[in-house]
Amino acid sequence: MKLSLAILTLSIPLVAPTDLGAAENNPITVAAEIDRQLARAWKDASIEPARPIDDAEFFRRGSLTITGRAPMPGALTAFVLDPDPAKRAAAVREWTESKDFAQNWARYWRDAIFYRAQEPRALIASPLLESWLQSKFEADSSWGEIATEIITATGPVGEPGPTGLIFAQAGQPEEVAAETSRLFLGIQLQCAQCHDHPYDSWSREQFHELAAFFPRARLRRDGPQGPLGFAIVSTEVPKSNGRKAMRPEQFVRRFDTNKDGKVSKDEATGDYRAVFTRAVNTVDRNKDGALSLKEVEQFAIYLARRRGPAEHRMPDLENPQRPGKVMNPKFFLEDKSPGTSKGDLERRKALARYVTSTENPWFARAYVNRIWSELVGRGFVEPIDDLGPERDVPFAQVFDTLSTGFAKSGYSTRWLVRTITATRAFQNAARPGDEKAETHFAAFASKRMRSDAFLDALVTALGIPAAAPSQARQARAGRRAFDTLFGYDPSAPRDELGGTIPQALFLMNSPTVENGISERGPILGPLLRSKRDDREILTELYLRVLARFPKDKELKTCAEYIAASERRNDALEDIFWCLVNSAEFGTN
Amino acid sequence: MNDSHDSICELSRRDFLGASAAGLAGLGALSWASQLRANSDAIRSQGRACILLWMQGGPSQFETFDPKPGHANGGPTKSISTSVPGIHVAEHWPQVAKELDDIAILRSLTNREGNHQRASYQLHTGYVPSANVKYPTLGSIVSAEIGSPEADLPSFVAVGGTQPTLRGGFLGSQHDPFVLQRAGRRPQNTRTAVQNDRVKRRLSLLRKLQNPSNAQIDERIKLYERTGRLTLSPKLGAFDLEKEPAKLRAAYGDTEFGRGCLLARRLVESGVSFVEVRSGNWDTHQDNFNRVKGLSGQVDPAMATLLRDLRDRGLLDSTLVIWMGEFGRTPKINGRTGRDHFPRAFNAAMAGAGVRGGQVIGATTDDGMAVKDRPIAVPDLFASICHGLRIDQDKENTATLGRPIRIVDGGRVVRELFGRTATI
Repeated sequence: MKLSLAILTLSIPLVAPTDLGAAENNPITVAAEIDRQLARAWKDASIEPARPIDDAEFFRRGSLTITGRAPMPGALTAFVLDPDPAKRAAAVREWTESKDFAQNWARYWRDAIFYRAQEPRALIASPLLESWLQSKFEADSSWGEIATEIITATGPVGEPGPTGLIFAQAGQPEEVAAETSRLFLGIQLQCAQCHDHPYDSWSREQFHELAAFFPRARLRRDGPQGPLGFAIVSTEVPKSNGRKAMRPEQFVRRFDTNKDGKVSKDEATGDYRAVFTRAVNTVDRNKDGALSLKEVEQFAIYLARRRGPAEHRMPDLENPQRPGKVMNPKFFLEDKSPGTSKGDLERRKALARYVTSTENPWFARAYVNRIWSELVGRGFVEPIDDLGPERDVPFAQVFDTLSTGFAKSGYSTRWLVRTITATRAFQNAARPGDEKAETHFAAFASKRMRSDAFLDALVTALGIPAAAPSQARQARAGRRAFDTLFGYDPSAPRDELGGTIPQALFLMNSPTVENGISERGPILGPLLRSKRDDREILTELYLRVLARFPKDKELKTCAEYIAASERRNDALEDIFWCLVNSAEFGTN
Repeated sequence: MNDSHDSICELSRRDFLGASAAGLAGLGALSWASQLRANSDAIRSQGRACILLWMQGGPSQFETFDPKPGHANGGPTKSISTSVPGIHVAEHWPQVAKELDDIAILRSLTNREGNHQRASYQLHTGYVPSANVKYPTLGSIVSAEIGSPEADLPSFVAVGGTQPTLRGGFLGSQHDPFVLQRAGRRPQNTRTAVQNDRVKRRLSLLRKLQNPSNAQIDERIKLYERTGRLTLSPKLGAFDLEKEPAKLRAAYGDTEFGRGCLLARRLVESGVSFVEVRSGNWDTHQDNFNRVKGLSGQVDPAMATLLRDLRDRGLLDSTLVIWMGEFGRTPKINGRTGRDHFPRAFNAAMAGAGVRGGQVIGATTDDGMAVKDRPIAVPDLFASICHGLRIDQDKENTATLGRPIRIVDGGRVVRELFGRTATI
């Protein structure tokens, strides 16, 4: 990701007001207001904020958190040497308009949705959601538009599109409702699926009223066989044609006039001739042109399966054999309802409107909390997808300022990222171990990188060559394997992000790492051949792996290690190994 | 400061002496302290172990161990007799049926959680999820209570994946599961890229360069110590299924789950305290009968062979085997020939570690709608598991902010499980 040097020679306003909403809502202004609020809060809590980060730290942190890419050493040094006082905002602007930015956030939401898939076989569709999301983020589509398309998705799951969430939940209304609430509103309603919510004030009814928006969106087999041969289909209640519904035994009793145990073509008269023909074409196993009771029963099951329940029913826990109470779709946050008997898309479009409306503050808050957490290291509320209605939110004022601004910007992700990264919360140094400072956003809380960013950092650090186009498939498979090893649910709380033994095994022993750090490898090889001295080589390694200059203490430790080693090249490989295995390397 | 260095040195010395953990002969050259350590390993290796066969998604009790062929709710599923007169299981479990003498079926489990994530968490930790407390999963509890901290193999291995929220929790990340996606070969990257002494030099330098450390770095250093021990362990061969005779491997079944069960036996033999083997997806909202038939076809031979194999090797008395999922499925068959979630009445099975086999505990009504007799709540189940593993269910561990949390939240041992033949 190269920084364009042309920017140095232009004097451009930091932000063009017209492309990001009303002038007073521009990122720099809002960020300044947030900084004022933060400073006041720190003063009240008697916290001294950490020092502001230097340019190298800013470039690494911004590059990784905004675009999910590690900084190249050349771009890093160019940035550090750039005398433009507005270079940070300019860098952020360039990052937010890059393809990498779109890909980074597409991957974030792909993971947030698919890590909670109830149907493991749906995981194969995650790249399709990712590519659709990427195109949306490239166009800076409003988050409201993206959410709407996901909630109202229909069509084949085997094509790039917004069908991923519904597919991942196997089209189950309760699961889709729970995820819609968690992801788009930050409210964990599923705790109220079987009993009133244990600590928030939602009731079982409210959960099932939300599920009632979804029962007519069903997954059906569609297209070629295989794991992606499904489509989301709106099933509607068949129009009544005046025919009374009959149970199978009623049907046979009525039409089997000669009492031979089956209904023949001649016996099925009048209105029921069409049904008879259809049934015979579908279920007449013994091909005798007549319908036995068993065959009529099969047909009834077939019809029910195709139709699906038109309404969602809340299970009756006291009497499970009863069908359960029919629920009307109602949006729990505002008691809004599209009315009963509305078709599938009408219901889901109504829900999307309620969810994304600027009158519903939870939509903006849920998104802001997540993006803030990704950039700054901690959310305003943690866990980040559990905003509840009754949480005590420290920094409520900052949270509100940011959420209001985000809504005003038309739910623009670019706006949000530019604003957050202009605040001191993003630009403070880390103070590891100082939890009070971290929870007050007075020090940056570094966090383990997501797997895509970590893979990129590893590729940069070890000089792994890009895959040839002919090997694109293997490269994708390699990335997926890496994701399995290093990936995590973006909604997972911070303290669940500790390393695992398989991850350590990879970094310690894998051929990938060993070849990368080798004296014959693409990084150390040229450095050794260039006959530079130890200090220069170490500086290069630190810049490449950790995107910073080594401290004097570190240089001293390394020099001692080299001196005590039998072989200089081995010692340099070992130091390179240590940098790649360090805690610092794998975190933002 | 030099802990990691020393513990790795200790290990490699033991390598060279060829002494097993249990054997004291040949250890004369080692210090008294390390002799003691080796001795305590021997004592621990006589301790108990647990294998959890986890049926992810919620297995239908009607199509497993509580069939109802005489009732419409039983669907088309027939029942078959077992080695124990009077006890019947669903038709797709013929091999397990032959092993019923060692198995206790619990038909009266009852719970409130019908949501996958919450129920799964509860059936693994014994507790309902809470925002404030990170409860440890069962494997982590067992690792902490009866696992050996000196062992080079992780005390808790999960085969076939696991839910990321199911970890060591407040007991610490050293009790997190070692997750293997697939059984069969040695875990990836366990062969060191360089010689052992260079590995140790690298680890020592890594520690020096990350000085001064903080909580995050300390955690990582501990992780690397554990990983280093695993890499240098002579017991890594336990992961290698190729060493088993072809006939036995065929009996377990050429399936992921079958291989997982065989691996579980090998790991328990090598001193691992808890192995979880996952089978999925049992969440049969549609096409229940065909899907359960397929899944049972994988689990039945594996589970039966596992019990036989443990018994043949004299391991069954000290190994608790648990079969369960997060809830059962509805008596009512839905419009897609499926069954939906049903925590109200569901079943599980246990064997080994003093469990009295050949019995059914508890019963459901004829229509399967409710527990009729002897309801068992999740804490009761956990109390029973602790009893089988000789873990004190009331022991308090300290969660964050100093809060004491008992291993089991109340709950009474299901005494019938252990009966008069138990050696407790």
